[in-house]
Amino acid sequence: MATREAGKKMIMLKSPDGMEFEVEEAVAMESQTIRKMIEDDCADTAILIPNINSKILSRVIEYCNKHVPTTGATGAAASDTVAPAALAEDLKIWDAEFIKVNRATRFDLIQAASYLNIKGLLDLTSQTTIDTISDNSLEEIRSFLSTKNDYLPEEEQTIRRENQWAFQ
Amino acid sequence: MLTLLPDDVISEILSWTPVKSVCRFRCLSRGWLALVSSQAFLAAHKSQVDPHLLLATSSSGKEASNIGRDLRLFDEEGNVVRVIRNVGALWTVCHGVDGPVCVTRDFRGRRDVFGVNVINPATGSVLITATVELESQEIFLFNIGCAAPSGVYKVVRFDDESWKVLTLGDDAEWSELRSPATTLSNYFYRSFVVTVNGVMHFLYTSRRLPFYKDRILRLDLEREEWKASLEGPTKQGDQFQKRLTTECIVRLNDTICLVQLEEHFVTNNRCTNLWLLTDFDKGTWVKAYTVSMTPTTVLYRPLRVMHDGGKLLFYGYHSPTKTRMLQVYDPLTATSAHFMKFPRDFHSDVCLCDLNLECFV
Repeated sequence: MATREAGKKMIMLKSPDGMEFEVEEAVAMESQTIRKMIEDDCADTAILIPNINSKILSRVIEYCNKHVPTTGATGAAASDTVAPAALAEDLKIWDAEFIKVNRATRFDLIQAASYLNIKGLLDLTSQTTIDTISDNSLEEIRSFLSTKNDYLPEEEQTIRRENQWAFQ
Repeated sequence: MLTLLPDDVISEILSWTPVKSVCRFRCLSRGWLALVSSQAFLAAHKSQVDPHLLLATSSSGKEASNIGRDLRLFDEEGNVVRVIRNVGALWTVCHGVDGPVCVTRDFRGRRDVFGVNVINPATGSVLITATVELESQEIFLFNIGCAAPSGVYKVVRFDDESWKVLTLGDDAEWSELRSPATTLSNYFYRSFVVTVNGVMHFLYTSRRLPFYKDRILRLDLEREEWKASLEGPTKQGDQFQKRLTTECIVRLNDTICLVQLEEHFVTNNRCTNLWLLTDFDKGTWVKAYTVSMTPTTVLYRPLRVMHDGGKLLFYGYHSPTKTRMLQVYDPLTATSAHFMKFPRDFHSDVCLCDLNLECFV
C-alpha cells in the first residue's frame, strides 16, 4: 500500500471517468462503504468508485478531508488551541458554504453520500433539500424535483382537501 | 423513479422529514403517495421522527351557548387547527388501535344520561356517537378506554361496591364485572386512569401516612378480566429528610409514567421524579427523569419524550402568574425552556394528541 508520510496510509480512489485521487486512509474511511472494503482487505491497490464522476468525487473528498477527526501531531496542536465549540461552529460555516451548489450537483452529492454511506454529508445535503422545498408551493416543489403530476384533476382535488392542514 | 433521485434515497430523506411536510409531499404525484403510504416507510418514519402534536381542549360553556361545547385542536404554535362544533366537553384522549382519539361528553342538562363522541383529531371526523344511560342519578366514577385488538371503546364505572362495564355503540348495556382480587382496604382511589395496549390501569395509594404505597389495578378491556395488580416503584424515602408523594400516573409515549414529588425538608429543594413502567408483567419501574423545580414552577404532567436527545415535553404551572405553559426539559443541561404558552381562552383541561404519520394515511 502506498505510504507518503510516516504513519499515514494512503488510499487511491478512482472515478469511472479515469481520474485518480490519493487520499489518507482515515479520510477515505469517513465513508462506511470504503471502510468496509478496507477492513475486508478488498482495497490493496485502488478502489474504483462506480457512478460517481470525478467532479463529484473531488467534492466528496473535500468534505471528508474537512470532517475527518483530527489526530496526530497537527491535529493535537489544533485541538489544544481551539475550543471544541468553536471548531463545531467553524464546521457549520464551512458546511453552509460547501452546500451552496446548484440543484444537479446537490442531487449528485446526495446520491454519492448515500452510496458511499457518509452520514454527515447525507444529512447536510438532504436537510438542505428539505429546507428548500418545504416552504414552496406544490408546483415549485414539482419543478424542483422534476416530478410529474399524474393525478387526475378530481383525484388531486381530493388529496389536496385531505391534506389541506399541512399547507397552512 | 419519482424524481432525478433514486427512490430509496428519497425514501431515506423523507423518513427524517416532519409529519406535516410528508403530508404535503403526498400531493405531488401517485408515486410519492404510494411511497409515503407503505408500511415499511411508516414504520421507519415513526421510529425516527416525533409525531405531529395537537393539543385538544374545549371551548368555554359561555361562548358556545347552551347547545353544546366545541372541541378545539391547537398546533404547537398555538394556532387553532380545527374546531368540531357541538360535540360536548373534552373528556379525555384515548389511544385507539389506529392512534389517539378525542372523547367528548355532553350531559345535556341531565344527570342520568350523557352523549359520547369519539373524534379522530387528524381529520376531525366523528367516529362514534353514542348515548350512555345510567341506572340512577348517583355520581359514579367513569373511565373510557379502547380494547385491543378489537378496537371497541368501553366505559368502566365503579363505586365502593361494584364495577360495571359497557361497550360503546348501539344498544349499549351495563354488565357487571368481577371485583378485583387485590385487597384494597387501606388504599384509596386516586382518579388517575391510563389505558395502554387495551389494559386499563387504576392508581390506588395506601392511606397509612406518612408512608405512601402505590398499587395499580389492571383491567383487560377485551376480556373484561383483571390482571395481576402492580406495585408502584420502591421508595427509599426518609421521613425526617425527605418526603416522596405520588402525584399521578399518565401515559407517556407508549408506556405508563408515575409522577412522584420529592421534597427535602432540610434544603427545601423540590424535584419531580418520573418513573416509567418498562415491563408490564413483572412491574419493573425505571426512574427516567429527575426534574428540579423552582419555587414557582410546577411540573404538572409530562406529555412526551422527544426523539431529540430524550428531551421531555411537559405541562407546567407558573404559580405567581397563575399561567399554564408547555415547557421542554433537556436532561443534558438540566434546564427547561419555553415551548408554548397556552392561548388565553383555555378553560378546561388540555390533552395531547400525538399523531404519527400513519394517522393521516
